[in-house]
Amino acid sequence: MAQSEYELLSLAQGLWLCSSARLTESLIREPRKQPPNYSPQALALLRDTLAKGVVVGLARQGGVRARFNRPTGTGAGYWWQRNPVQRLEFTEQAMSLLRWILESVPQPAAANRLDLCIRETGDALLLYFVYARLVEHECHGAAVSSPAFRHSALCWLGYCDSLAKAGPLSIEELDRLDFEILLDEQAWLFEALQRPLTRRWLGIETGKSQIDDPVYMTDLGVSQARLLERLADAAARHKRLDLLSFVFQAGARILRNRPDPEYWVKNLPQTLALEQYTDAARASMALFEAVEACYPVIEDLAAARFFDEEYEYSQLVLKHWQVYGERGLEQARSLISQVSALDRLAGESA
Amino acid sequence: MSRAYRIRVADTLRQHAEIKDGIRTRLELLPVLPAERMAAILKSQLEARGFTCDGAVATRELGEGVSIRVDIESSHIEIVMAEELALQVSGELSQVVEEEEAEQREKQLQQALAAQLCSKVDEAQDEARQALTQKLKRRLGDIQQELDQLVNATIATALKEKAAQLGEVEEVVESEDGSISIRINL
Repeated sequence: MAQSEYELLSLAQGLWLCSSARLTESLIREPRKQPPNYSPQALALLRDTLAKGVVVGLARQGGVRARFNRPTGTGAGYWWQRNPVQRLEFTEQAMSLLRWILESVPQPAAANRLDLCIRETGDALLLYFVYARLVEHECHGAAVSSPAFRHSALCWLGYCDSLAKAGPLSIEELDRLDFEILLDEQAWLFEALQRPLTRRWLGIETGKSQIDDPVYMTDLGVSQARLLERLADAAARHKRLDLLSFVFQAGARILRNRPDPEYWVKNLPQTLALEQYTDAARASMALFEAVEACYPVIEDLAAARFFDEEYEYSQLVLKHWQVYGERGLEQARSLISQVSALDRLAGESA
Repeated sequence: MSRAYRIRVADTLRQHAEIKDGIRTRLELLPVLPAERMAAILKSQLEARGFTCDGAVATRELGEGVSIRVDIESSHIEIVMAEELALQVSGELSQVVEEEEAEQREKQLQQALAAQLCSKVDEAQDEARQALTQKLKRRLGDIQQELDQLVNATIATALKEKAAQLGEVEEVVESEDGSISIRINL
């Protein structure tokens, strides 16, 4: 096997295996010249690695262990019991992505050298795992501004804090995120990512207490707000509001500690103009505002009676909702009101 | 042999600017009556407090450059403080240069001085803006009190109207802490 083929396969393997983190990091950080073609054996091994690797990657993230009902009411069970066997396709887009990592030093200039058009689920999932590894090894300098990653709904959902550093999610980018496919054909995948997404969004919220740049805080909040609004809208239409579980879980966990409104903004400079400060403070509440916005739909679902067609779906959504519930709503409303309250801002001048 | 010269450039930069800061917030009005009626009650309460209403917008100057603007329909408020700033900064740079490069160096020194003065103006504007922000913050406590009174008065009026719709109002007791109790005969 040629050295370049070994590197290609090692990179593919390293996307899901933690044991080869050092090798993966060196493959990402150092540019390596790649041949125009690989041998049929190497390509066959790559296909096998990708096919098995994504399943391993999903399993390691923990989402497949969750037990809950399917919306169509086939009863409780694990993810693999509730979802039919899925076919994952990897196209030449996957190869282009892996080649880009191996050949490019992860500097911003490399952003425009990646030209992808992701349509298949396998490629979309690979892109997500690649971004996760780039962030983990702090080599995402090129990826944050690359359209390939910025047009990925999964990347934004998993790593909006990272992508927002290169600017907020624009309306043009938002329109290119395919939530329809994510909540329909790829719903099984989205379901498997609920736990890692919960961890990520909890991390994003707790990380806000460290943000000292009001522009970034505002960009992050704007990105979260746009993302969640569009996602909730699509979820309601596809009757998959249960897939907002990660938002309810993350919000509930953070509220459990009864944080002060200052928690989110405590590192913002005190010398900021009030206008900039309050814009950033309000943006920091994006997750709670998004949950508030989808509450009317959940309220309607709560009114479903046992003979209604969507009764089982409503029960599924309410089961996920109850971790946040009315108590979370009240707490969040109080936080949103207090974070930019005049008397709190007046008190900071004392 | 060329001579050495000391070149000196001096300049003064004068600038007039308006510095301002503000905050946007919202009145928390309970929906006691339909939105249109709540807006009408809010409008009458604002007028009673010296606001000038022009369509769906009410404004009032609070002195010291502070103004409030209320969107009656959406209950959004904008509080802005603005000040005129007249700045004057001066500076001087000097350098010893050879005769043949004196002209070129003088131009470079002028450019460097201009950049320095612009930087001083930016610093002075930022300091003035920070001082303005602190002044505004000190006013916020009083403004909040006034807005609380406005909200309480609006809700109290709406409650009385609602009570009158439900039955015959026998007694209305308003205490100093803003609470209200209404007895109605159904």
